[in-house]
Amino acid sequence: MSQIEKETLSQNTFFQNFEINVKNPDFKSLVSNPLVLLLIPRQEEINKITPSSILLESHILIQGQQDPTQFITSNGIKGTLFKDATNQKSHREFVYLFETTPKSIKTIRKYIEKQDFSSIFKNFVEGISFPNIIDTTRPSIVYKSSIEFSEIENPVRICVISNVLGLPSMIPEKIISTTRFIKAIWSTPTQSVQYESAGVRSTIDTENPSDPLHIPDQPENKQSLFEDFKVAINDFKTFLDFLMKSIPQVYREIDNFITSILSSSKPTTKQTGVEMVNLINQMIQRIEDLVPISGHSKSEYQSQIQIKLEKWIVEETYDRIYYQNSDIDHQKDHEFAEKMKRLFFVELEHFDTKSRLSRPDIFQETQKELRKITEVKPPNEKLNCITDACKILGKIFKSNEGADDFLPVFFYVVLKSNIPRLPSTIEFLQFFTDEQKLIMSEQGYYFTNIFSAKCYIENLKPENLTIDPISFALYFSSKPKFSSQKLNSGLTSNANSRLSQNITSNSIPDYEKDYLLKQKFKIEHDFIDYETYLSQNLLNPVIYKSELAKKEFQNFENPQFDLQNIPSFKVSLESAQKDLLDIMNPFNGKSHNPKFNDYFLPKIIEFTNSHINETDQKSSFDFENFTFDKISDLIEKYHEVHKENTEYKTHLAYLLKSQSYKK
Amino acid sequence: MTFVTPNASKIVILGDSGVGKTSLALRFTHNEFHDLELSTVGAKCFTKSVHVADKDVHFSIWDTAGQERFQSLAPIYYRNSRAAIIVYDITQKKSFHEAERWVDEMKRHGDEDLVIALIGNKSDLNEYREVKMKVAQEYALKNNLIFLETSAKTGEHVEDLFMKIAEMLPSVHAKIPENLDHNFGIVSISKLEEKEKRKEKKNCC
Repeated sequence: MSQIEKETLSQNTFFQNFEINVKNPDFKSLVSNPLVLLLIPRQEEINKITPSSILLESHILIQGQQDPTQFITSNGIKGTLFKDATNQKSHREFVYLFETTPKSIKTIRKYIEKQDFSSIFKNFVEGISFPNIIDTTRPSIVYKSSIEFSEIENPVRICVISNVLGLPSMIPEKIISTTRFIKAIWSTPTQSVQYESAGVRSTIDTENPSDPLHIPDQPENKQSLFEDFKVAINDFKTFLDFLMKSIPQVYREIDNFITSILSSSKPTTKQTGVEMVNLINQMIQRIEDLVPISGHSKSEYQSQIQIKLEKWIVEETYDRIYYQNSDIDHQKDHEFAEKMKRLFFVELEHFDTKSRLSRPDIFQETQKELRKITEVKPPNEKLNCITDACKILGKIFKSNEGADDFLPVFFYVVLKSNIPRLPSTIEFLQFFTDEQKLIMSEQGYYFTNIFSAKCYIENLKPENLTIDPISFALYFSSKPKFSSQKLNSGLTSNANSRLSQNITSNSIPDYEKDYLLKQKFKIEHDFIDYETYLSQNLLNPVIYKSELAKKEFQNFENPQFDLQNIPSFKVSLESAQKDLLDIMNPFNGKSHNPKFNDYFLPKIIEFTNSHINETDQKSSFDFENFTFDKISDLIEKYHEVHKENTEYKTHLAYLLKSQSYKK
Repeated sequence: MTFVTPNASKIVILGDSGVGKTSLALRFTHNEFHDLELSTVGAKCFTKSVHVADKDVHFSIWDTAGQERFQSLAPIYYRNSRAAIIVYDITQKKSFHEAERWVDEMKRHGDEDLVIALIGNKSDLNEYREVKMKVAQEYALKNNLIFLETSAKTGEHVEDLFMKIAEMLPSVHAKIPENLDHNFGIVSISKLEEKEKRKEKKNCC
């Protein structure tokens, strides 16, 4: 240890030191030590690091501080210091801090390289102050001797210099600052070190330090930066490249945030969304400080930056941030999907609106747009889907009563669109969008429409619809005949149960469990989407309606025969069989025929049920096992055998009669 | 920092269905009216900026559905709004009662400094009038509301309505003077009517 170092250390009552065994360095315990933060290059795995390649960083730490402390740096940056130095938030705040004082850092690094510690204290004046507590605090410095790291045989000494600058008596007990926080990256003077963190790659030349920490005091040509910016902002990838090259501090900041989300073991919360929105706003401010964005399209540029940064963060972290709290959201989505499934019978006329969907193509277009909400990731893109959907739907509108007429139709379309995971999508948008945007903007208005559609559907009662409450209850309370088990493919369920087993097994480390859990949710969700689609669009309507038809059929007495209509019924029956094929095959792309669906299919089922199953006449038709092939075979067979049979003719007449009865 | 125009004010339009909420917003923002020849409005967030009291006020007007069955959804729409325009149809008594209900709700649940305007629309249909102007005026006076009768069809008082709201918004006047509050909208009606007539004459020529 050099003379100067000793001197310095003796001045500090809060000097701390650590010894780690380089031969078998326990990096994990080092990292978990609140006094030290190890930063390693992202690409490296912790157990592959050789001591000489370690890049160390340490943190300022305030111990014993109960509440987060607000501070202001001498150049006006506000921040918050959290008591837990390992907390990601505090990390971020500090990265921000030191980046605002690049000049100091450059100076300090020079002194460190010269091992001139006393000069550091003299010259390092730009720091942070705690307005209400103490204003002599300075950022602390960690000295990491990379030279010592190369001496493998000896224990490595990490010297930690406190930030109290020889004035320990003035520091209240409760704020004992110990370590950290200059990102001191250097090596022996003859070597250059590759600094690789946050995706920024550059070589630190110790003779001529133009490293990522270097921020030009006077941007050489602000105007040319603006020109570059104007080109870059039009494309996501180009913009990221632009940031990386021209405004690396912003690039690193965002990248750090992404890393902090990905590496955090805690579930992300609403707070993460707030942090993201704030960070983006801060970064826009910083970009504006460096790039002279001006002119009438200034706010347009701002929103473009906002959209790009948001896209970057969200696309990198989506799996992590989408399900805030997996269990609850998962449950909500499931309940909502169930509710929508049960509301299959709701039609537009139940909304008491004069509007009619005169153009089914626009209706489908709207649904297509709405369903995209779950495919795109960035909040802004999701909001655009909603906006576009509303605008498309607005196009068919022939009304001067705006929302009075529009909303019922929109609610109906949402209900019929089967948007997967709507509740969690809405929650995600609420958390990860600037609140002002949701309150004020056009996108916000359309978001409010879908939000209220969700609330409406969630709380839908017969009195909210123009529908006879008994019918509502009858439809709504009938349990879907197709259980999820029936639809569950063997592969999916096997994979899922295997996963479940793995998750509960104790031999798996927590972080892997986390991953497996995520996979499990994914499988389940894909499955819910599929199941909902099948049951709502294809199967359940048929079954429910057939049950109603059965009742109608039973109530029908004293029929009058009209055999003349039989041939035309035969034609209908044949076309009905065709349609049945369409319905039962979701992949042939043909839309179902409502005439068939509403009327003939239930009759056929009833028909087959009561008269065809000759071997077991009394048992009711087994809905669980009916298939198209079975039904159509039976119908054909029956028709062949009985075409001259009086009973058959009678039943055809029944059908025709009940059709006119229905009218 | 947000990217919403400074001084942007969200205004929500409430009222029974068919009273002309959308038409009112459309008349103000686009100076259009669609009668039987129907428009393709859908539901929209209407925007317009006005200059009043040396300030630019940017309106973001949110249309709502008035049917009774959607009333429980209204809070989602009026949340964070700076002003509420409660519209009734002067030819429909029922719509006035509905408006009273909205006034009560906004008084109870709206922000403290929420500006509330009671608007009797369809003033061009005077011969079918069911709600007396005096009754509505007195009700508005009692409840400190801006009150105007408008016609989205002719445009009568529509501009005035939004100018008044702009004047009343807290960002323009930090505090609303007590006396102004009580007399607002009523004292000036005759003046406005004169002004309106003058305007109409101009339009004729």
